[in-house]
Amino acid sequence: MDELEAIKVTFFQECEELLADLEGGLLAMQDGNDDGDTVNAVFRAVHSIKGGAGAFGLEPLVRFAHVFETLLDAVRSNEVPATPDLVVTLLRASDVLADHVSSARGLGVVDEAVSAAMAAELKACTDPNAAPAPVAAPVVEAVAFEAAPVAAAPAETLIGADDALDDDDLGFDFQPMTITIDEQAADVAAAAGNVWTVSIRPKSDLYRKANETALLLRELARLGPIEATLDASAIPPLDMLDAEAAYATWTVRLETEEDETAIREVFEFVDGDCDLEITRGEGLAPDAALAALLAGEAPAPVAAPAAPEPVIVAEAPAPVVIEAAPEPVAVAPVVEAAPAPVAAPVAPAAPVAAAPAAAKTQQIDVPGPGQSVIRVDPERIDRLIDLVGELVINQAMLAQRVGEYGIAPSSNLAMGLDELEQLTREIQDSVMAIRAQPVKSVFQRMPRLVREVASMTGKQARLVMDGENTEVDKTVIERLSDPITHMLRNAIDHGLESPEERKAAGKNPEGVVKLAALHRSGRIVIEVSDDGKGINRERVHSIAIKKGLISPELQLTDEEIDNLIFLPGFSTADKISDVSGRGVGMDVVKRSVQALGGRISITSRPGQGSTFTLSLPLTLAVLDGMVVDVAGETLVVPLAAIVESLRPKPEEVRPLGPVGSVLAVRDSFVPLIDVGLTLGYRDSSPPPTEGVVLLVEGEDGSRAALVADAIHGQRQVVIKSLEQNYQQVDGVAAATILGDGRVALILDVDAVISLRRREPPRPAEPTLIAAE
Amino acid sequence: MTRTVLTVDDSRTMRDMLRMALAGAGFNVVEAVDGEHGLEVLSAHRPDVIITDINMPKLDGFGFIEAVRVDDDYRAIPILVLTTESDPAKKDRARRAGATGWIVKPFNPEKLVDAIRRVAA
Repeated sequence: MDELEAIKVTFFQECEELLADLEGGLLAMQDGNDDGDTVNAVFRAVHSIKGGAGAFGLEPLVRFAHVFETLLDAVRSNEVPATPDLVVTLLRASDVLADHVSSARGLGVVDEAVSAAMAAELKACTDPNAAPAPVAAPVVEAVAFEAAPVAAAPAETLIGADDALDDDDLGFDFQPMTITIDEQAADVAAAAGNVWTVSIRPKSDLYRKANETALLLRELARLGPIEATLDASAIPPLDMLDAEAAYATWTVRLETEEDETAIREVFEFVDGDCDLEITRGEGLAPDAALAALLAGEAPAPVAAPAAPEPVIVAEAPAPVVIEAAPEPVAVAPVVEAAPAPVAAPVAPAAPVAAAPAAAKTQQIDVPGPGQSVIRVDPERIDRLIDLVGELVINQAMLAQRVGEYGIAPSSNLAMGLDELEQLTREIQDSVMAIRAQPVKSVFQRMPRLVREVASMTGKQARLVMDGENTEVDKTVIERLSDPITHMLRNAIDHGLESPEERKAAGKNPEGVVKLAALHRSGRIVIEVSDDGKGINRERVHSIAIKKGLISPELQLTDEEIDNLIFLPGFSTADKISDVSGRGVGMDVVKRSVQALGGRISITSRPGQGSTFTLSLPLTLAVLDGMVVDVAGETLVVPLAAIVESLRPKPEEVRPLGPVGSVLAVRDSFVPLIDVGLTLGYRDSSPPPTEGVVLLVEGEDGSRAALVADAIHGQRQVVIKSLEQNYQQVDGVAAATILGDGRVALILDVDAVISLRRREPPRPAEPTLIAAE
Repeated sequence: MTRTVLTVDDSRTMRDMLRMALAGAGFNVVEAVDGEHGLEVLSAHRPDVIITDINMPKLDGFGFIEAVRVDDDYRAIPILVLTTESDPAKKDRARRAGATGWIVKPFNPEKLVDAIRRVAA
């Protein structure tokens, strides 16, 4: 990756942060929590995105950011009031800006129509009186930002700069050219009449801004041979000299092929800070020119226009010393320099103050003072995590081998191994911590969602977030977004009442939806709660009966009724709204959560609201599993899927159909599945009563009783992908390597349940159907 | 003698761009993330030239330039501001604050080195 590409990567990372800052700032403005600097921060975010985009020639992004920035600039200077409506518009614009960033990154496309409409809207907000010209305007902008050339050949230009350094010391030193070219050029130039007279009379402001007459002369000398004359006659006697004032006037004879524009360019930075006259030809003789100047302004304390002594500058750059000096006055430049800030005491920096500051700048590359951050390619971390996984396995193997030799646990070897195990665990935890990220990145997207859903459903909702800095593995973070989105939608759409209903119930018309994250016993818990009406249990119950999900006779506790909403095919809304999705209910959420090894539950209090609680493992790289034996094979069953394990009594097993059988578990029947048979390890099942039964729950809430021969116990295993190393196998989710070095397959509980189902057709969802 | 350039910009991208261009041209580069930080780095490194952005948190470019110019130790250091073509007003304000010159964004390495040469002794 070349340097520019690396910076581009940085740029897009920075864009992500800036977009987050942008939204955060806008939200603060919306909530009225902004301090005076919020709008500035918002402006800076867009401004920085534009700046970087310009450097990389990302035209569409630059154009949109520019329109956005212009409006924000007007807002921060109070030309446009930051009304709630405007902030909503700005939030939508930040969305479009994010799309532009993604598009520039090659991740997705911007809807041009949406972008153009948004840009037009922003322009209309910036200047309400301006006629909307959404098509013409971007073209104008395109001309204004000619960024493309920079991006086009940056590498080459850089190399060029390197060469310049090697060849002639940054181009500061042009000594070698003087003598020969000088005279020839002078002849040619003079012959062509390319002689200019430049009169420079610096004001004190020029020096105040750290500009230097000597540097201006040096720049002029780059255009051609010069002959500079100093008029020091205006310099007052020493006791009257103001060190900050400027007294000198320079007259320069310049021979150059360049035109007047090039000469004027030299004085670009001092425009207005010096009196400048550029005339073609020899101009007036220095004496006459100065006399004219002095006569015109007569500021000099020394009134007598004494014939000024022409002074040749003996300043650093060689080319300036061209012709023989008629009467070199070496003192003059020093006097001239005196008022300039350069002459100000430039003592070496106070050593005491310098020392600690020097230490600080060691880490100057950090994004903010004090917080140091290293950016690492995620692939490297993934590789490290893989390796640590291998280390854990290897360590377990070693421990097992040593155990086989019958070495006493108190021996040095065994104790050393214990220490090794602890270290290994610590390394594993530390490595996992590298990949851990705060859930903030997911939470950040939610305020917008809440706003949108609230406005679509006509509800008033305020989102309160807590625990944004709770950390969880990156692999989990990426998959949190969907369930949270769904739960929030559900909370607003189904949980909160309309403002009228709330008022009638004596509540604040604005409902509160709370999103919180916390760590609890090695898992991350996400809670989504609302202060709405709570679950209408009567209605849920009757709907479940009507839809045939439960038997009418079944007596259910409040909690069980609440959890009915997770059943597939259950939807409480009378009409399916756009918001919560078409026929997509909480069962989908539950399924996706369970796919991550998580669980979801709900508690509800009528009239006071509901709380969804989601708990997930902190990482997807390791798994808590139950190790079992099936037909001589070792398998791992994910612990998250296991409800309980039991040894069935003969009277609990009942035949169903020609081959199948069910297990009576308390008040329901659950199909018995022999794992060995389903996976093809054996042709006929031993009686279930001889083995162990694991009662498992699939992602869709359906239960099954898996029959295994023996249970070895619970263990944390490192997940190894089967697809990556072999191929996908039905009924198997992944593999792992056990302590004895054997490969064990991790059971895909859902696949096993559905594999079993495919054989004899049977009524779906036996869950919760009451026993007679 | 290697010249030291202090770049002051809150955008990491822009700091990296400046560093790439300046280091490529043989300058020693020190960086600061805002005006306040810039003043700290200034005292530690005594740069020959300062390049600063305008819009920054804590202490913006105008404030930073003014602070440098009122300090007898540093007021002679040339300061170039990063501006955009579209905003002449900002350029003028930066000049009033004491900026020596300016660099129009987006810049290329030549433009940058050229501007430094014009103000650096």
